[in-house]
Amino acid sequence: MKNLILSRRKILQGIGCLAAGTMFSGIRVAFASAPVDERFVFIILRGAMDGLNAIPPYGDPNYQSARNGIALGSADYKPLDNFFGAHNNLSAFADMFKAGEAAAIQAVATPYRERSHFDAQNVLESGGVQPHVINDGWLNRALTLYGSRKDSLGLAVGQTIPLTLQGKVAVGTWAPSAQGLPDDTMLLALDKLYQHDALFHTALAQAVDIHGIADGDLGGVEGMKKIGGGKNLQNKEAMEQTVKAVGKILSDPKGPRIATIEIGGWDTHAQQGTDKGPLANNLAALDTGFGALKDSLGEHWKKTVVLAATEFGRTVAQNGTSGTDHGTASCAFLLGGAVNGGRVIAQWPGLDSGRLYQNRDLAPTTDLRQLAKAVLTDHLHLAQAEVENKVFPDSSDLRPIDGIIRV
Amino acid sequence: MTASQDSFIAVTRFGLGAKQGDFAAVQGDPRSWLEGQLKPEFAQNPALNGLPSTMEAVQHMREDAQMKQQAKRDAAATQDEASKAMFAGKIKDAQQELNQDYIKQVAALTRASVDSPAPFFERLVQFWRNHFTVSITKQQDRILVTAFERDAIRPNVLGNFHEMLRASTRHPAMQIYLDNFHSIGPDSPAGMRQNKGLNENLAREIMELHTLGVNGGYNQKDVTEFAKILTGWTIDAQGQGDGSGFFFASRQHEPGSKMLLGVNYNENGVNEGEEALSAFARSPSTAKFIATKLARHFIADDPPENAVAQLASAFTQNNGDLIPVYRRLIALDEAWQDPLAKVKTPNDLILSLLRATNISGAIEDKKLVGAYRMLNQMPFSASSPAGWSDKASDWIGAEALLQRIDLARFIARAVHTQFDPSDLLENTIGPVASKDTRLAVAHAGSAQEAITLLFSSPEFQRR
Repeated sequence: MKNLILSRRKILQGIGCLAAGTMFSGIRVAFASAPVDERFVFIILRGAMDGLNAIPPYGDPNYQSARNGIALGSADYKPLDNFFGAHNNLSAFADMFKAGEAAAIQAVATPYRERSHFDAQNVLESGGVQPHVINDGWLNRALTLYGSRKDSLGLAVGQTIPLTLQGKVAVGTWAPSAQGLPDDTMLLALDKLYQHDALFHTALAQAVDIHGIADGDLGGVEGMKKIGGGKNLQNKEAMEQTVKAVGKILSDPKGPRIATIEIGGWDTHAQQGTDKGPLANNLAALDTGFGALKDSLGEHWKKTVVLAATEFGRTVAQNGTSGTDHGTASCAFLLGGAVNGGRVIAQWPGLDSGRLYQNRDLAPTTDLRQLAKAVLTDHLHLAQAEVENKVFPDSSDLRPIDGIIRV
Repeated sequence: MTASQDSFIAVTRFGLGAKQGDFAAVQGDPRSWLEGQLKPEFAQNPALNGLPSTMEAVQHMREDAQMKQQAKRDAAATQDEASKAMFAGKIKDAQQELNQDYIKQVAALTRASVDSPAPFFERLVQFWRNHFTVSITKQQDRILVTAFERDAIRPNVLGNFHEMLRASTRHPAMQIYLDNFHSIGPDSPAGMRQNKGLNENLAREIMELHTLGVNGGYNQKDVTEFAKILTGWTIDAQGQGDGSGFFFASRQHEPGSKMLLGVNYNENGVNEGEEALSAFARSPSTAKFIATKLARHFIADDPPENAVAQLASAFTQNNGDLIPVYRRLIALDEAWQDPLAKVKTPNDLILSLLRATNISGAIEDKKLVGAYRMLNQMPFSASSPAGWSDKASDWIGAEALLQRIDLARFIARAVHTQFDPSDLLENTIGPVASKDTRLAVAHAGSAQEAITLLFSSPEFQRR
């Protein structure tokens, strides 16, 4: 009930300031004094990204033969070092890599070892060891560790909240919408209407908060039509416009600090292509998002870490339909001014058939939680003991990856 | 528990929301009103007569592909820029026509549900079409998805689960959506000639999402073996089959015996797949999985164990016949408690708004379908084969709520001169309306505002 009352007060404060025309500054009184100045964006790549063609291990002697038919040719990637490359469509990422503010992690996976998207995403987002054991998200549990003001720290980009941000702490959602908020009379009436329904009331209060920061920057109704309301982030233009607004929201001194973005379309079972095709297009959209985040965060980029990760990888060999089926390890991306990058982190397991997981998939050698724990402790300044106690249970034997965050 | 609360539950939770006069009609005996809808005649919704059959859709798909290929060839063959543009325009026009057809068909399905005298039956159709998700995210499926509902789902909703599973698996829309039509046995004649092979997408999702459930006791080896069993199951693109749209291409079928869930399947062509589907349909894992989904849909996001057990045992005792399962559901006490336990999905919300206001006939197709797009639940476009979520936490966020309120405002603007807000309240949520909601509607500054608030209220947004 505490959240409800708090949120309710925020709305009413806002409405109380209407006469002076300062509605949003009134609401945002509650946003004062953030407990953390660092920014963190978690990009969820839904559908199982083919990490072997995003960050190709071109130096592995078996890469071409094991991926016969779908391996990238030497003109389809840019070398990152003398072993790994980045798909040509990850050009913004490659530039950041060169500038030392981006890293790739190869052969990484969650602890999940089956091949269901939905269970795997549940593990990726809940932070559990098994699917459907923990009912809330690891990022939400991380927010519980902040004493003050935690209810306005989290933001889900999209109409609804992904599991990773669901939990005890209230978080906002934001998506570009042509309509914006209802008028003030209606808001006041809705506030009363929802006073005994916590689910609806919290959602309304969050909407009031976030729209106060973001609106007015996306070209109104016409602008929204152009980018399709930001619903399809596989579209490069929609990604760019949406992420620019996210950067603005995260830049606001009183705004949220931690955001999630979701992009689907990685489930390339058929005709996945190499330099062109569905995988290449999705990588281009993701890369556009990377670039737009850096641009729009401006001076805050130096305090930012972005983690992009998928639920599992794909088979090493192509399947019967020029695509790939569900696999195990994939790669993850870490970028931002606070990242000590310029390297691909991998205990490379190799692609010769004897080294593959169950004789078909890239074997996992790094646990994704090692990466997430490094972000939570070194970047967001949460105590490791608390992270192991509350955020990632059963992970105390997993060392956070050392030195991945600039100090 | 009052009789009127039962009426609300029958009409809103089991049905698709109240039309004017529904509560009065149901009042006497809500359970009998529901049971009366479990009759095959309701599968023949006359509003659907205009939808293409599966064979018509397959034919259309073939012609569309041929036309586009020809246009591409013609464009490549000419040097003249104007001709090239003409051929490109032809492809674009054809695509637009497909989109318009799809919108027209979705609007027709919507009106069929809204106008149906058997809304419980219609809800069951929507439950099953979501269980067996197909999606226009596969471009060719745009032509096929409504035929899937018409021919694979509707005729089987009151039949046997196994038949619906067969119809779904054999349907071209499913074969395309989950890539099986071009999965080829590596050692089959076609596989040896073309150096092509398996695609295990459909095999996995049938076990995980359509039958056994992810903890249903299978492993990766079973998925691969079942994928081999399903090779050759494809689309009747040349009109060689039995008129259902399905064709078994034996040249693509992986020869030899397969071991699935500990059972050896000797080489037996299409019958291997038939036997496997039959075995899945009989599995207790399937009974439990389907029971859980039904209980989640009709009782609560976290369904009570007793309800799941009851439904599973009805499923098993009746060998997958579905009518006795629905009867057991209607008889469960748990289904008649907390009348607002579930949040309406956008699809539920849109249909209930249209039923409450009776305006679906007056809205043009594009706007009608636009409501789904606005709330992020376009029919046949779920982002994964798991279908749309049936949990409130996946549907209510700040942004989603604003869209819902906006839709309420849009509909209120269209109908506010035709309704008295307090009558409309009684006719839609009367039996459960709270004091807050009654006050908000009574004190609103205008009829339009009152109706916006009514349609935004928790009682209208829940079921």
